[in-house]
Amino acid sequence: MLLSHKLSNTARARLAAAVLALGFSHGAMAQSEPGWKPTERVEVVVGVSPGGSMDRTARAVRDALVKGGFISQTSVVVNKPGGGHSVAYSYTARQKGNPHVIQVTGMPILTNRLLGRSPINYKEFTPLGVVFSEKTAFAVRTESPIKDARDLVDRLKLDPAGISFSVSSGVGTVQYFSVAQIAKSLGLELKKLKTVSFKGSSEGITATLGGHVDVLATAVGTIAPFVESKQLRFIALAADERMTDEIMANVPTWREVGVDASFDMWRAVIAPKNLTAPQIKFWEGALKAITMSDEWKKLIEEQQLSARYNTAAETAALMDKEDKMYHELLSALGLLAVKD
Amino acid sequence: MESFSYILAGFATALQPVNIWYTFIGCLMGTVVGVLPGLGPAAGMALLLPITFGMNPTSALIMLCAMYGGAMYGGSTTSILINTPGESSSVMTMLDGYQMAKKGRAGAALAVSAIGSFFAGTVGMLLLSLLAVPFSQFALRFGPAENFTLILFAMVMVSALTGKSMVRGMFAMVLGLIVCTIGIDLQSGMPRYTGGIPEVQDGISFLLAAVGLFAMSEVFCTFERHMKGKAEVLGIEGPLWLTRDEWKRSYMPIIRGTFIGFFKGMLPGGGATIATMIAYTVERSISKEKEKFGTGMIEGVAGPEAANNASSCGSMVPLFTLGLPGTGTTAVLMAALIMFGLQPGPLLLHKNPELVWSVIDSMYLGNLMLLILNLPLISIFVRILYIPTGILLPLIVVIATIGIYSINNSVFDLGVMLSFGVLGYVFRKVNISPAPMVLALVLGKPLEQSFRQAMTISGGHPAVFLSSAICIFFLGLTVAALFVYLVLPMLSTRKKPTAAAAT
Repeated sequence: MLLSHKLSNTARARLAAAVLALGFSHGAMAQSEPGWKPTERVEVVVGVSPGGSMDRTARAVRDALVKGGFISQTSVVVNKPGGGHSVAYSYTARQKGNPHVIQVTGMPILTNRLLGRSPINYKEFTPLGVVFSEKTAFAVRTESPIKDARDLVDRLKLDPAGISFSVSSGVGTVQYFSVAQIAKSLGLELKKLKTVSFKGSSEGITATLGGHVDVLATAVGTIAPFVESKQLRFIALAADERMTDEIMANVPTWREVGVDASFDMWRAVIAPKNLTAPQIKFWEGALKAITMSDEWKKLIEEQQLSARYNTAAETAALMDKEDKMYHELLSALGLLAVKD
Repeated sequence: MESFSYILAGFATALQPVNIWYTFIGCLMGTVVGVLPGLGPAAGMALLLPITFGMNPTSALIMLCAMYGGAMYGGSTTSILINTPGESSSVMTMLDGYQMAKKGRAGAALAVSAIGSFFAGTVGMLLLSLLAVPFSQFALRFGPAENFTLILFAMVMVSALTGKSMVRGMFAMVLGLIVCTIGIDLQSGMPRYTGGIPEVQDGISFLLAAVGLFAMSEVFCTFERHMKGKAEVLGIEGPLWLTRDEWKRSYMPIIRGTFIGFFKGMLPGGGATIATMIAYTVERSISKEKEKFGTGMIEGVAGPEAANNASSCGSMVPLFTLGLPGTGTTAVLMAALIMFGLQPGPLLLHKNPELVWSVIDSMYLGNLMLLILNLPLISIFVRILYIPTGILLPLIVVIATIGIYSINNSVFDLGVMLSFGVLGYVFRKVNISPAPMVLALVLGKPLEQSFRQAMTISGGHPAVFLSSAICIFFLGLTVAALFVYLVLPMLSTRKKPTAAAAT
């Protein structure tokens, strides 16, 4: 990595060209039509430190893009942690017109601005596509007196402050919003509910297993191993429909018990503003191709994610729609920090 | 005993030449990562993670764990020689380690930290092999209330480090607590005192403060003395190895540090740093020469260094038995497991016993390797002390800068580190010890968060802090410590004012 920093631009371009040529000769390039292609190494930016789940997504995207012959082997994942992705957003946003920088992100791209954590608007980026999504599930300790989702609803109606929720990484996360939706849907005041924020899902699970908090809300794939070992029990899924795999097929959605709580934690790839049409087309095609690959399907199955692909235009529409939705939700919660 | 056969099979795997090779590479890289300030085990392993992709999972994990061990060893080197903590858990080692170096006993300090690390690592692995399964449920008993009382206890122990002037020590500690409140508050999600700067939204990293307050201020002060023509080359006096007396004073602290470290390591949050704090203050409290701590006591190096390594073994207990990482470093290990398609979780030990035991067994080997690797290095490392000031000072600045920059690739962080350097210089001029401030920076956030988590769960009733035996145990210790450190000195001051400085 140090070496490639030292290489002059021309040398780097030559290296990249050589790698690309190699790709061609092996027939590894998935696209044959003429158009734009990366001419130098690509930076895959991610707003967290190495090791986290978003970092893993970035590395999976980078590896799949390299494997598919879309970007050169010298391409790197660039970790820009800080400010709940804000540092990374401002880094990417500054690269206007640079097609060799892409960023992997989730919904903080919308909520950071609404919560007053960053002035950067999602419109300052070019959305390229959604590559998968993750569902939030609710679980309790196996020996918990809370029987199922309906029982939880009854208990909450009786005493909103009687149940504590672990919303793993706090206000502004999907976990928190799904609890907020439950409160809103049941006509309860969110402030009355006991929402406890932990530094990450691991700490939240530890507290739930130890019986320190009652209900855990976090990503399905994170809870599943503990359900398998019979330490935790799923009670509900915050999604539109049930999941189909063995463990999840029996878990009802919140809608089934009459609670309107559904969130899809999509993971999207974005690029800086001012990309040309052929450049957007290239990235869109590359992302589509990697989400179709067998490796990607395997990854989704292994980590209990949900397969999802959206085109660049669909992703833009999705962000518009969800920005409006979060705007309403946050303003109802009294958390909205912007005036527009 | 079913797992016994797995332990033996694990050794068979760990002793394969290719795995011995990876252990060696991991140890070597870990030592380098540990020596570089800022670049701790978590960041180092994360950097290594992409390289291991495509390797056999067992070999890759063996290499990563060897690196973890190596970083724990290496962290003490710069602390002792140039007053720069290689990672957060080396701050306590530095307090007396650097003072030992100033007295010409750098060789002994490095030797005792290598031996302490080896002993603690080996015993820690033994405890991990034997007790991991029965102890797996222990960590779960620590909820927010229990964590709060534990951290409160550690906090009171820190106040014991305030040196001769209680007022100055408290000032540094409170300043540290104030700095802790900067950043997005976890419970309310709102940014506090960030001034709209995105870089500080995650708070001020403890490492920036530690490197600035200790290393940079040391550079400034030495530079000043150098310009006045007073800077002295430290050098070595007496044997490089431990003297008989030093050895006699070290072995009990090593044993105590090992057990303190292992048990703290199993608990979530705080990592090895709290373990080293407790080990240090325990040594100080039971020592007959309390007032000499901070002036180069070998007990103050031996205890924390052992606790440091034992804690890394302890932190493997929840990772391997429950799939729950309690520290940043084990979180990276868990990420590695996921990358290799293994499902970390409570069933890891049942589903992949060969892998887990091979990795654990390789760490025995890694420990031995690190001892063999580190002992001869002492004679090389101590030569740093003979480097003329004009070369050494820029060298320290370079090492510190690389280390800090490599955490987040952020120039902003360098500015923060330098500002802490200036603050540290002022502290030295007015005789304030920076240690309480740095340690308050480590403990402040978890102290506040665990308090508020517990209060939310209890619906605002403080009785939650008396709700379990663990809570009461730590609260009792806290009260006892307060009595010993605050009330007793005050009483003795009243009786004979002249003797006050002694306690």
